[in-house]
Amino acid sequence: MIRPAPRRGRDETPHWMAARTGRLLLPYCEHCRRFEWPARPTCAACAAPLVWRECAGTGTLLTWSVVHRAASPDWSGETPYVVAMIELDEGARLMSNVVECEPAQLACGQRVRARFVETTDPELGLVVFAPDPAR
Amino acid sequence: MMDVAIAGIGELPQGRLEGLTPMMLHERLARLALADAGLTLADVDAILTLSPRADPYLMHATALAEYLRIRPPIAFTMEVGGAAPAAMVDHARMLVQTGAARTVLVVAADMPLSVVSRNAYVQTLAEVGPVHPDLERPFGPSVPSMFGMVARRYMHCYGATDEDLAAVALHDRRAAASHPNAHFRAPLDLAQYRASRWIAEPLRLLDCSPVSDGGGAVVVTSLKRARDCARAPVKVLGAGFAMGHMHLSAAQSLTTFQAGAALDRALAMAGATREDIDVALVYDCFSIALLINVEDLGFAPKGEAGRAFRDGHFARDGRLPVNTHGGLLSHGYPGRAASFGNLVEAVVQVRGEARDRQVDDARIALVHGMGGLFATHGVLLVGKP
Repeated sequence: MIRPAPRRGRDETPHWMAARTGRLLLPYCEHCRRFEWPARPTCAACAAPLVWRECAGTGTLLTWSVVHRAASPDWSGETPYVVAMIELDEGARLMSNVVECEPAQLACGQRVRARFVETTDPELGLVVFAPDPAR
Repeated sequence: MMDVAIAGIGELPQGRLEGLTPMMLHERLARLALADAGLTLADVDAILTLSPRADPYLMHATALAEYLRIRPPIAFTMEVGGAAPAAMVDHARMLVQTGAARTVLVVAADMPLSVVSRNAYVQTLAEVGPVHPDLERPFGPSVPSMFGMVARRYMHCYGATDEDLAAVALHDRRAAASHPNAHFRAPLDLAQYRASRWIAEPLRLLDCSPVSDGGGAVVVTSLKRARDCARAPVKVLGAGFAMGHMHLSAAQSLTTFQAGAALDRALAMAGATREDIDVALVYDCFSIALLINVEDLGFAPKGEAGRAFRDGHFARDGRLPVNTHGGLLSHGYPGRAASFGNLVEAVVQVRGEARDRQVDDARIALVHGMGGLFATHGVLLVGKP
């Protein structure tokens, strides 16, 4: 299945455009030295304009759920699939999927690495994660 | 300041309500609550509603007033998710105390089972409910899977097990067994719980509240006037609210939320303490929600609510009876009107009319509601005047 695309024209659009080219970009405040996610044009703490900074794409699995009953017919052919919260090494937290895994083998705190998937919008991609074989 | 009370309540069986429309259901509940108080639609000068998923309106309260052929000066539709009962009754309190209204009809009903269909309702929740349309929806989460992620993290942090989740489902079912309006009353045991299918691991079917038709209504007026009404008045003692986030991916913690902050504010308004609470009706759209919410409210240390449920501390004859009506898990989950059952049960308990569910000498009852993924919390305290 091709993923449903996020809407265009959102604060996060550069993130999804980068994901289409295999890069994980998040908005970053160079003054406060922290990422803002969900995205904003300016830092919520100091109001400085944010810049899009590339992340390493590595992080840890905070938690996950194995979906057996899909929320919509689009997803019903994909069950069981894993939805997850990932904490990037840079500190931001993303909702995503864990792919290329055996769900029974997952563990909180496990290392994961970004993968990139296409969406129904040819210019927008999504960041998903797989268990990190290097660790 | 003027004291305010709930003078009447209305509730019908939760479950599949064939042959009704959402507007008809609102009218039935409204008339039940008004008749309970000894009042009529002509007395209503303010009406507060929620826009049902099964019958969405831009200005639902106004549409309902038109349907009822009344023209109250105030007809407001509110939007606070599952925290609605506390917010609506507290808003009614303010309307009465300021003199803006004398008789406030608070009514909420939805028919996601008969009118929308269970599948369509579940899909709607996942697409326009508490799930972010861009940051979360493209990854295919169902609402149960969002609660499932909270449950997994909770189990990881506190060493909780499926027995702790099951303890909630079994507790609620025992409580609902004798409730004439409960959606599910058949006995339930651990083996049946474990045999129920996965919906979103670690949550099984019996960790999830059913989709029900139903709702409830209350009539709010001054305590002085309520004393002249047909039934014993139940005083509005205090209310408190708190929010932490809107979307789960933006929550500061995945295991501790804001119910306790809402209760602190309600207790401050009521001039009461946690020890004064005789019965607590706590929002439990999923089993994990009841574990976390009773802990966050301060009724069990973090990670220990499951054991407390198993040991009977929250049973009708325990140290703090919780969800004596069966909670959302067994009494029912009527869509947008979810947790009106908590509000109605609180009034029934304080009146002493809960029959074999009755808590001895219930003087103060807590109603907790939660909107979204533990996002917003409303607590209402009601009690004997």
